Amino acid sequence: MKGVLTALAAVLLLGGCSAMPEAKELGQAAVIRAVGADAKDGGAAVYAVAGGAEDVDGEVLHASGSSVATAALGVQEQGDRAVWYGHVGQLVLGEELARAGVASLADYLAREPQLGPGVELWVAEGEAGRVLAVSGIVGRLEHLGADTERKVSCSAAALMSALAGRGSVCVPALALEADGEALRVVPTGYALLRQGKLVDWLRGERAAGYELLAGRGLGESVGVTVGDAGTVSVMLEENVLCVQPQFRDGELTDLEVRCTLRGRVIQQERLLSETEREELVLLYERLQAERLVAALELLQYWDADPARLERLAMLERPSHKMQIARQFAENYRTLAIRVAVTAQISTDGAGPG
Amino acid sequence: MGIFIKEEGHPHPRQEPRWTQELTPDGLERVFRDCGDFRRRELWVGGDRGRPLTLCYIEGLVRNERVNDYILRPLAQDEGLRRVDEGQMFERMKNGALYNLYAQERTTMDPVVADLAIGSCVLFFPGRREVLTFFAGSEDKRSIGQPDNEPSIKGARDSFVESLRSNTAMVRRRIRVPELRLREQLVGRQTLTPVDVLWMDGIADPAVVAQVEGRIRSMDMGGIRTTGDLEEYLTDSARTPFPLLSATQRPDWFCGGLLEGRVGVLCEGLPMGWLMPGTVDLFFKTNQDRTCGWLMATAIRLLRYGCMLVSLLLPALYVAAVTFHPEMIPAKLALSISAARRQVPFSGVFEVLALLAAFEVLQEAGLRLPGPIGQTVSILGGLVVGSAAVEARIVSPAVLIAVAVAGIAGYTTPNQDLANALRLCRFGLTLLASVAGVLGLSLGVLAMVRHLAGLESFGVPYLSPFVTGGRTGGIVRLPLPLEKWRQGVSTLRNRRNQR
Repeated sequence: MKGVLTALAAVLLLGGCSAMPEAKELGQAAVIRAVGADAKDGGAAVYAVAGGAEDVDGEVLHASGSSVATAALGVQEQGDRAVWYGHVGQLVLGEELARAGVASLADYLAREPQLGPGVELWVAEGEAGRVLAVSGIVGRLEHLGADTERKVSCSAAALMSALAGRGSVCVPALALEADGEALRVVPTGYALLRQGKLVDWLRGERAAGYELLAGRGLGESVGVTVGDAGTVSVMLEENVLCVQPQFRDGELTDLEVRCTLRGRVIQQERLLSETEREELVLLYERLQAERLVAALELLQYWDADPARLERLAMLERPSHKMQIARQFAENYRTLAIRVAVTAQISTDGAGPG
Repeated sequence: MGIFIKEEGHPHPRQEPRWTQELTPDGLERVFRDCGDFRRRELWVGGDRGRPLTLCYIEGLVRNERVNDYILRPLAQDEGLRRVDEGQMFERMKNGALYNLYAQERTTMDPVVADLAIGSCVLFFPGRREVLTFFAGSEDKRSIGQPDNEPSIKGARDSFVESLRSNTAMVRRRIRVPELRLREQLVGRQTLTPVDVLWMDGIADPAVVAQVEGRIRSMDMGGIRTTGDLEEYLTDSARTPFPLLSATQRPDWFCGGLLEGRVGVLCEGLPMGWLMPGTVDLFFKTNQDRTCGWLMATAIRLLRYGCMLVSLLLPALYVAAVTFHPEMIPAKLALSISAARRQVPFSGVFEVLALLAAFEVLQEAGLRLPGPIGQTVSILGGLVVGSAAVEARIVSPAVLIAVAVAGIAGYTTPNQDLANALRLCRFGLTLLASVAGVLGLSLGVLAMVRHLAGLESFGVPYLSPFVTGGRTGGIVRLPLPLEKWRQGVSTLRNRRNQR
């Protein structure tokens, strides 16, 4: 008996338990799956989607407060049950809140034990509350977030990490689009957050370029017009990014971003000749290089490195780690970055038409 | 022959000899006074009025044909017996003139009474203080049937019966060497039940044999009526719900245990055999493990261990997760559980405990009722009442599923005694989980492991072979040609199983 009591005491003490855990019955809690936060009247408004299933929309609870934290606490008083944030998977930030800065939100996420660091972040073009009011929003966000080979996601942990470092991160952006009478949520690219504040959007080619820089974009298809052969659709299957720093007298002079792509023709109007194939590869490489350049130009303009080129350069030349860090901190905006894209395109399986 | 050893100063002393009457027909009649089935008959040897004998027996215990053909007929017709004097007649009867395997000369009342009680008849000779007893028992017994509780798909289909000698014969038919030792003792002051200890000489640990015999010898009770009357005296600790002996209906499994070096016990009147020491791996093995391939057998054993964990932990984990740690549950399942539980008026722990109790009630009712009715009760209770309770929102579907899965998983445990112990522990762990969630559950499991690690069965750790570093574990069943060592018991005289 003495042994059992000693073991129990040891387990309690080693477990850091000073009291029994607090019971919270699942049936008496509103399980929140998605949260939205907007700036409102100098404070914040929080929207929480509770419950819901495959075909049933969840109930949207909302409250306002002087901060996201107080508004989130205010949500507790809105429903008929206690609110449980332990299963929140998606957090949508309103544009105004993002422009005002998310540093305090990141602090709240770090302090709130129910909201884990794995929460996926989104920035809405407009108000987050309108996005969360769309039917089936939780499933839609989960679906968009699951496409991790193609799109770059951003978790609360990544935001905290970015704020602790050089302070730039790209968060997937959303917008509302009219679909008949209903509204639907569509991805529009990425919101560039620098030092915790929304500074610009990466849309279209820039968003595609950023995805290539981040080693993603897999599964995306582009149409390339090849002379008389018409438009050929090529799907990206592999993307290997390598950053090669160049030094002169021990100083970083320029950066070469080498992007090796492997694609596959998924649709063509007729069989391509050898010359046409070579032309297809050249055009594809040029297209992707233009995307990369477009993205890099914007990122350099904002002195933002969300794709972590600095880290890749350090991995390439670990002996010059200090110089790379200094040059990136001082001269990233003006650093000469050359882009080299090498592509291989397979035509296996693609028939006429 | 003294049936019991007299112990002076004992709080419950035994009278020795038990019957002090003079060994005469009248004395025997006094012993069996008010016994309506006691019979006494006067005989004349060869029809000679001058050569009287007295035959006594218990009606019903003796078989009439045997007494008529092998006792009475020679007495009436053997001219040789009539011509010799009484002393020679006694000797001739004792040495084969009466056709019987068992002819015992008795001089005191106690063994005579014991012989009568097993179906012998007694011959009294006027003027002699010695008597002869001849076994003529009716040996009414159930025929050997199939082991209902331990069915076999590909194996022997005989089962122990209530007759001790039939059971020992079944064992002897399988192990045909004289190294199979068998010692018998009488247990029970009022029942005088024979209990046999069996072991393989040269394999089993003599210390275990001595311990088993010593425990049987020290059993001082009215009589053996049920298996518990024997098990609770033989077990090392009554303060545990876990079985420390393995009980089986199957002679082939019993013989397998003897060949592994365990000691067996058989008892008159009980259609079971017991194997000891009982180690935990023994309770997860079946004879079927040796009738299918080693891969399949290992997979099935893993399944059994897994099901044991499910049966033990699932209700408690459900309570812990729903009450204390909702974040443990995947989001979609949490939503489903939450939506279902909103309609239920009871707390999660109450639901689980109530359903566990209902499950036990159904099981008990199904066991006590005759077969077809029992099945009906189980189906009605399980399906109809269960689904009705869910529809009426008295319980949530997830609880029903958790309890049912735990219950069904428990049925994969081959040993019913171990399954019962796990059922008991399931309640305890659920209660602990309801108090402190996973922490309480962990403490409960820790206490359980500690308890199991402290158990021993006849000097062998209960958690053997897992804690004794056996050459082969209790989970993997090696191909039989590679199974070089006997498993389970670590204190054998000879551990090697084959070349």
